[in-house]
Amino acid sequence: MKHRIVWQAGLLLFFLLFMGLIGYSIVLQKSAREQSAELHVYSKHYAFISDTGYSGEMWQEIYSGAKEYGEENDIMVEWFGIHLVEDYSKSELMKMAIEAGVDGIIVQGDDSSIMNDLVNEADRKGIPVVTVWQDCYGSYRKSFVGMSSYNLGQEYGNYLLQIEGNAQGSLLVIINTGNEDSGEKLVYTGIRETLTGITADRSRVDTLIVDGSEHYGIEESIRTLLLEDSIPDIIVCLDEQTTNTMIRLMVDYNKVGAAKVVGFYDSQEILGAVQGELICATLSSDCHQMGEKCVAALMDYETNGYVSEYVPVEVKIISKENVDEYLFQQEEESHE
Amino acid sequence: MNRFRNMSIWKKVNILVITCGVLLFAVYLLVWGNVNHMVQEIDRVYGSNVSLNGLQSEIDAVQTSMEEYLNTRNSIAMEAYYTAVEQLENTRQSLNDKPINSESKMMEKNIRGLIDSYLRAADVTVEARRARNVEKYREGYEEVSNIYSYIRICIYTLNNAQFQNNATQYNVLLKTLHYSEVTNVVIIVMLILFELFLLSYMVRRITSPLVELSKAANEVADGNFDVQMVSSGAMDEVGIVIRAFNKMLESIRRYIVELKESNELQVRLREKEHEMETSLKDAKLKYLQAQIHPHFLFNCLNAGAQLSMLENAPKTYEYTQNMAEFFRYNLKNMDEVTLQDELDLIDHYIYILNVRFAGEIHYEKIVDETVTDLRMPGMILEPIVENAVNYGISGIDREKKITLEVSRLDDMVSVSIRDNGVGIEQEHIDSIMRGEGSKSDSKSSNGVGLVNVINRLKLYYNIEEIMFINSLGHNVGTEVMLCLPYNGDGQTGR
Repeated sequence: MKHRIVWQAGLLLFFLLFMGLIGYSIVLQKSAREQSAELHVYSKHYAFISDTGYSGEMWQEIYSGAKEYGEENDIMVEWFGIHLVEDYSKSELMKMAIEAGVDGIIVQGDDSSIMNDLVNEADRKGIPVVTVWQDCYGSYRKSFVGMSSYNLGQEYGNYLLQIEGNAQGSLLVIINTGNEDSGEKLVYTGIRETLTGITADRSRVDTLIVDGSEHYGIEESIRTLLLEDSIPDIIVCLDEQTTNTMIRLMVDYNKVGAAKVVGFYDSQEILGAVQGELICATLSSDCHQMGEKCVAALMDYETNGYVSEYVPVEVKIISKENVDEYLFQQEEESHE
Repeated sequence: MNRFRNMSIWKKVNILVITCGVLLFAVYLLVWGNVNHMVQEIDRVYGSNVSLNGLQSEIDAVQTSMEEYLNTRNSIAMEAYYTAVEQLENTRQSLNDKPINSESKMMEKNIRGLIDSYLRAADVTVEARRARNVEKYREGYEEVSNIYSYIRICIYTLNNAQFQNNATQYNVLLKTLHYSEVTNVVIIVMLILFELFLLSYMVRRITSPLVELSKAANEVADGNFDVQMVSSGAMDEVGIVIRAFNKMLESIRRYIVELKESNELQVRLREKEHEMETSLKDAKLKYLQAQIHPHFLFNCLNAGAQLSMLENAPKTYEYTQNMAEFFRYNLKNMDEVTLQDELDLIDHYIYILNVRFAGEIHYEKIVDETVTDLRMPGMILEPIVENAVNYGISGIDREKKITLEVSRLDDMVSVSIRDNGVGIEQEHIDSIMRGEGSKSDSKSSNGVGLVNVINRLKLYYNIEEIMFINSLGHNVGTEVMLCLPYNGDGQTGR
């Protein structure tokens, strides 16, 4: 009897092993096939176009906001041209998106006539366009999402007045012309008029023009600035690239504290610099929200046939006092 | 399971073989299917690249034919253009046109959209050329060329990306194919082992009762009928044999019991018979010996002898004395006497007869004195001599002779009583030897006949061939020979 039980147990075990092996074989087959993620068909296709000359973290944040919002609303937001083996300009990508017949375009605006014409062409072909970060004035774009460059300049000015106090030291604004008509000039205008408006003695706000489109263009200029005998008391950076370069060179050349630096954007590096008092503050907007609002604007237009001309995005000033909060927030988002 | 157990061995084996075959076939199909599928997947891997290359060729064909037409404006070029366009339109249908969360699918959608714009622009250009609108077809050609370059770069990008994916996929598939091959071999080996295991188990299930049966049979062959019955619940051929064996064993046991009982009965019966025989023997002996009334006669003869003595009649005295001795012999315990006692009795008997018959009988006695202490039943020799007198020599005219000879032959004592009388016919000898001589016996004076003698001798010695009667012919005489077992110390050899 015992012998029979042993035999039967052996048979059963053998059988289980055998079936297990067959199961493994089948699983192996399945795992070998292309692990196609669960494909989802969306109802709309929006193209997201920015300057490919610089696709920094800010634009990634804006795109991320647009993409996520789009997915929630069954809309596919594609960062147009990012995967092409050749680099194309923003206008060429715009042209490509129009010819590809996308359902909507979110584009980083500029004041060029080419961009204006392209926006109008898209409008003619029934493709609504929303500009982000910078507007295409005079075009048939449906809405502009972003901060007003001039308003941004005013915010800068107000903060500068705050940190300056009664002292009026030298002030330098670095303008990056590498971003095609990125509106930094308008920002500068805002700064200057804010400062000169309030303080009548402030007659001069110096500028330093840098070209971010060239390799090491910004770096060269800033290095030259930092190695001069007299460094301005306050230096204002109007974009992420310039701010990052400033922080890096200040550390490299041991010029931390040589000037009060006010930067732009809230990347982790820049926030770290604020926390470490390498720079005194940075201005930014909620880029993620910016992207969301772009998609929302297009959706509103398609649903209602109209949408607000301007969808503002708040400007935030991040200084030593509140930088921890933003860092914590970012950490939480990265864990999600 | 019971149903399977009760099937015939032929069916069981068939089911087993079929099951193993089906399993093997199924596994083979699985393995073959897997390998085949893997190979097809591998073949398909670069299929997307091939189709993209084909698409590129078709677009190139449209562009080329359009340029040809724009340059030459001939019908052949136009026909070629429309043919290429038709082909491109057909191919375009297979591209994705939906927004899908896949980079390659989105690229396909863009390409499809671009192709649509391209074909529209190309048509406009061609139409403008046909209408000889130079400005328009030049603008159109520029636009078409731009879109053509966009399409080329998109196809190139997609091709590149898919090639990288496909290369990775190819490597994964190759690796998986290798693992699959190993797994398949292991599966087949395991299947073979499993089937061997199963076959061994089933054969063991079938043959183990046979092994038990053979052990039990060997035990039975060695004489152990108390072996435990072989168990078999199955109703197959082996079960039938086992049940038959068990039945046979049961029958053997029963038969042995019956045999034992029968033997015991027989033994009891034989014992009873023997007892009866012994009793009969005893009774017969006693009966035979009780045929004579000895005491009264002996006493009377003794009185007569004394009277003759008193009357001074010595011959009468001697005669009476012999008579008394003769009858006194009967008072002895006739179960067992010595040979000498018998010889003495013969002497008395002959004396008595010679008195009656005036000495007619010549009695010769040749005796080996060393064997006269032989123990034997009483009243054996006298009836033989009496028989010789009554039936042998009584009617003859010549000299009547009786010779008694006692000699030793190894472990036997031969007692021969010969007469020269009329002899006995062989038929009569045979009937006497068969024990059928009762009528003749009744004629004897003392009533103990030859048959009685033979019977008592046979009973006493338990030997069939103890007495021999020879008669060579008519008037040649008769010899009665006794061959009595003797072991030399007076004891009988019985």
